[in-house]
Amino acid sequence: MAPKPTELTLPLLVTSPVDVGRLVREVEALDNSLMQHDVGGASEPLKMPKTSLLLDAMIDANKLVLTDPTQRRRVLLFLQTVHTKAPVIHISFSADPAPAFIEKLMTWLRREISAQVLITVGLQPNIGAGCLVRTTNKYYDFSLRQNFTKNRALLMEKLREVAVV
Amino acid sequence: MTIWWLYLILTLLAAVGTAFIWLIVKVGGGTSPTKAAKNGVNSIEEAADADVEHIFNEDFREELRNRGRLHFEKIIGENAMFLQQDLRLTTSQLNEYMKTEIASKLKEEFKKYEESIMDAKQLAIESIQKTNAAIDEQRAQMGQAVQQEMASAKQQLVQRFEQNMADIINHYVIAAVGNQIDLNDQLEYILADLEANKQAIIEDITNGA
Repeated sequence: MAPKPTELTLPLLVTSPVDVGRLVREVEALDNSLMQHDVGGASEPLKMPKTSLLLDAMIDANKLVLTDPTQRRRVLLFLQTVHTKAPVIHISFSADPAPAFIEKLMTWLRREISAQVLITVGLQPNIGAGCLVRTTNKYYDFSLRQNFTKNRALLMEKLREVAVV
Repeated sequence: MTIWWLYLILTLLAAVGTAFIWLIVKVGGGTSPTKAAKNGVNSIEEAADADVEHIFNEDFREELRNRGRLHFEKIIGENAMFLQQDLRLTTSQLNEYMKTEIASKLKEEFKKYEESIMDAKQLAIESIQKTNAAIDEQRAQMGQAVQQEMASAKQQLVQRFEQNMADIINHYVIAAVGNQIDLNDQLEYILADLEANKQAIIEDITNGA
């Protein structure tokens, strides 16, 4: 089961299970580091280690304070849950999509499909345009090639008209 | 007919020759001195015999022999001439007959030969006509088969062309246009497709394993 949308939100930069896994590892490392600092009883004030862009986006999107162990565990649990339970949609394009394109797409998907949905992007140059979408059990062909195939009868009708003329 | 005439003439000549020889022998035998001496009954007869002997002396006899020989030679010559004429006639008739017979035989043989040739020619013509008819029939059948095959092949080609033509055009258009369309321009259409299938996607995500 996917985590509740109200708990935490995934930033738009986090798009794939790979990103989530990377975040999980980073949060675990951060948690270990801060825990060692607490256990060591250091006199120096707690200094937040440098975090990645993804984790920064996660912190900003959820207004998190990761020096708090409770929030760290909450984030870690959320990310682990997302990593194992979040729905994943595989989308293939004819060309490698730009980050801005992915961001727009993720905005729509998170708003319309699921707040925790993840995507894996593939490359299919032979589809021309459009995309191929594969969910858990279904496959959708929104490509130009498929569109042409659907309209083959129309094409042949036009060709015959030209041949008759 | 000519052969019989030849036999008749030869027989006649043989009979004349035999009669002449008999006459010579008879005359010679009747005048021998020994016979006259045996018959000398009376003197008259002897005188007559002497006269006869005087008249028919050796010269006279020789004269008679010569005349007989000449006459015989004359008869022989005449007969030989007749025989030669007959032989020539016979030979010419034989030649004519042989010519006629040979010509008729040759005509007959040529006629038979011509008839056999005509029969063979007729048979050959009939055979050629049958062969031509069979060839024409086979040609017509082959023509029909080829036409059917060509029509079938043409139909298959047209069908295959129609099937592949759409794929070729699609492939060409996709290859030519696909790379020219920016993904950002496609976003609207992609989202429209996703919107159209949104409910199915949500259901699959929610209920999927």
